[in-house]
Amino acid sequence: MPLSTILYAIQDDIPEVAGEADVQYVLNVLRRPAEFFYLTSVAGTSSKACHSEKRETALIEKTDFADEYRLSASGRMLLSLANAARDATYIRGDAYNLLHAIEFNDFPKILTFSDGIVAQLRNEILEIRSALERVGRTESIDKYLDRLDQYRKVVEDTIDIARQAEAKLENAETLEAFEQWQDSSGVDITFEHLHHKINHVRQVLLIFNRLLSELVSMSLQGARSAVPPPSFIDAASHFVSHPLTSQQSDFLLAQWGATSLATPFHSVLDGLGAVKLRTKAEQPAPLTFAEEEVEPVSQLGKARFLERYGQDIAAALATGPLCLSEAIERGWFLVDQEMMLGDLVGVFAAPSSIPVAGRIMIGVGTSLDTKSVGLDEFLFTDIEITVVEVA
Amino acid sequence: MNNSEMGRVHAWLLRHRIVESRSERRSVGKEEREIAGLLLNADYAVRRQFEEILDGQGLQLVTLTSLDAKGVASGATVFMLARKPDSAAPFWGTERLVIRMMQSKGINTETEARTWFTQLWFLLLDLLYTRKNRSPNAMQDWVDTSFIKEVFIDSVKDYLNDQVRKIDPSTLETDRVYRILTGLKEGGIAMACNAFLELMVDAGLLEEVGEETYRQSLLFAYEMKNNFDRQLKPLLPAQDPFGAATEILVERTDEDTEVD
Repeated sequence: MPLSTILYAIQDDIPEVAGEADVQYVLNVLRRPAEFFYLTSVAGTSSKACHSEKRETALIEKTDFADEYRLSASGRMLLSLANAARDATYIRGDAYNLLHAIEFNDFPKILTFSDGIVAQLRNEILEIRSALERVGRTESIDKYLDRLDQYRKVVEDTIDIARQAEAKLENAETLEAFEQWQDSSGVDITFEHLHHKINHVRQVLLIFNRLLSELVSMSLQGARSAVPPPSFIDAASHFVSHPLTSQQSDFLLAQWGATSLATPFHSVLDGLGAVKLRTKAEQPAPLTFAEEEVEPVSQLGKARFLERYGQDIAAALATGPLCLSEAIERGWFLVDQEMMLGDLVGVFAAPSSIPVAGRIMIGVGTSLDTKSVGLDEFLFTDIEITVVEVA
Repeated sequence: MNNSEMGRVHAWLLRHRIVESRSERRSVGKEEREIAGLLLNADYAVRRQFEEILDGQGLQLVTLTSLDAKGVASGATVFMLARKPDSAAPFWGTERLVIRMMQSKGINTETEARTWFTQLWFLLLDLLYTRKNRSPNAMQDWVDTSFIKEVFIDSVKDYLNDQVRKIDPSTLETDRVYRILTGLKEGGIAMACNAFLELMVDAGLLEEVGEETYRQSLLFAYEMKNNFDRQLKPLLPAQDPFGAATEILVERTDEDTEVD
């Protein structure tokens, strides 16, 4: 693989890697084998002889003729070696590391080891879950079945070690050491956090154990979780020749289709701050012309007025037309010393309530009339009402 | 979680169907993180009450951690709203589905829209399950289901040319579906596929993992695992029992599948 290809691939992944020199440096380190230097005593002299040995740890090789790199024999083995070491059968060693970290009060390492164990178990757990879905059709479970006893033992031991680790952590001495360490290092880890981490390791181990048993019992019973997938494309073409009924189609779409809310279902916070509410400044109330003197016209007032003058007006109408000015002259705007001019005008404008037979015709004068009453003066357009005899 | 917060969580879940506290493959927005936080920190009793409400609506709140399913970020939790069997939630409808499908050139009626969607859905299942020789209950394999849009559209065109158009319409009892499927021009087919993929992504059943690259969502894989036997299998045409038996006995490896 040419250097440029490696460089592009790295820059794709990590854009901030700027130069070719950096990449070349790392490649150079990877292609250099590990070298051990050691001294041996030479018999009879006090001087030491210096030796060096190279190990085949170079992961890549560089071709002599071009700037190209390839994986070395060790490099090719790297992945399988790493996988073998990550197998759950080696987890007991990691658990011992954890236990030792607690014994030596190496608190930051507790986090590292417990995270490591959980991460590794997580891979195994997910593998088992996959295998559980394939019981009956693949060899993927053979790995677990063949080495079941080994797994069982390792897991039980590890659970035991985790339990010991937990007990050790709860020890008064450990707590004391933790407080001292925290004071001196100032690292922000709580004791509860450590406790939680180790507890988590134990929980995950228990899950692993349970799934392992489930897998084994399922395969021993000859149960089969995997079914071959139906040919969905054949199903599709089947439904061309035998269309789904409308109920089947409704069901299929509701149960399996991309159903959605017909309108978006808004959360209360979706529109938060989207609409700015502007409070209006309070406007001063406009000046209004208040006429307290205007006399209210009311049904009750009209009834009272008609009770008092109804007959008089009817009598006057019987003799001929009656003008508003004439009525005012006769003083019909006062009822029991109370001014009821509004009602008088009202009766002239809508005379249907006057107790006379026949229709009443209203005539409105064209000129403005004035009439003095005491000190005041009325200004009005004269209205004349006449009874029209019904033929 | 108080009642108002429960409403907020409910609204989000009804709209998006999936909430992740953290993800390695997409950015999780502030609102989504808060919703996940509310669910994670809810009291047992409140959470139970919420699940009961959802249960009455024909839904199930599924909680998966990084120890339960592949593709969940380490230490993260995924909450999903899955449909329970036999209880289609009444507030979810297919109106948007029909409207969106009808935006494709040549799909003019509701029946056409629904037929196209159903057919494309079966072809998608073919891509996700049959071609990978993946059992419908293999939920964990959802992480390996990515496909590009081109492949999907090509498989639809191949299906139409190799299977549908070879049917002699005179042999059909009713040629309703046949006419609908053969009535679309090349451009219309691509538009229908686009609409279909968009709808599936919108409903949380597919994920868009890259440009024009899609993948089955964990929710879809979960619903398939749990509901296939009761809700889909009875609808499918009966399989040849001997064919099915040989399928079980012969395990195809990934390489073989690719050659296919």
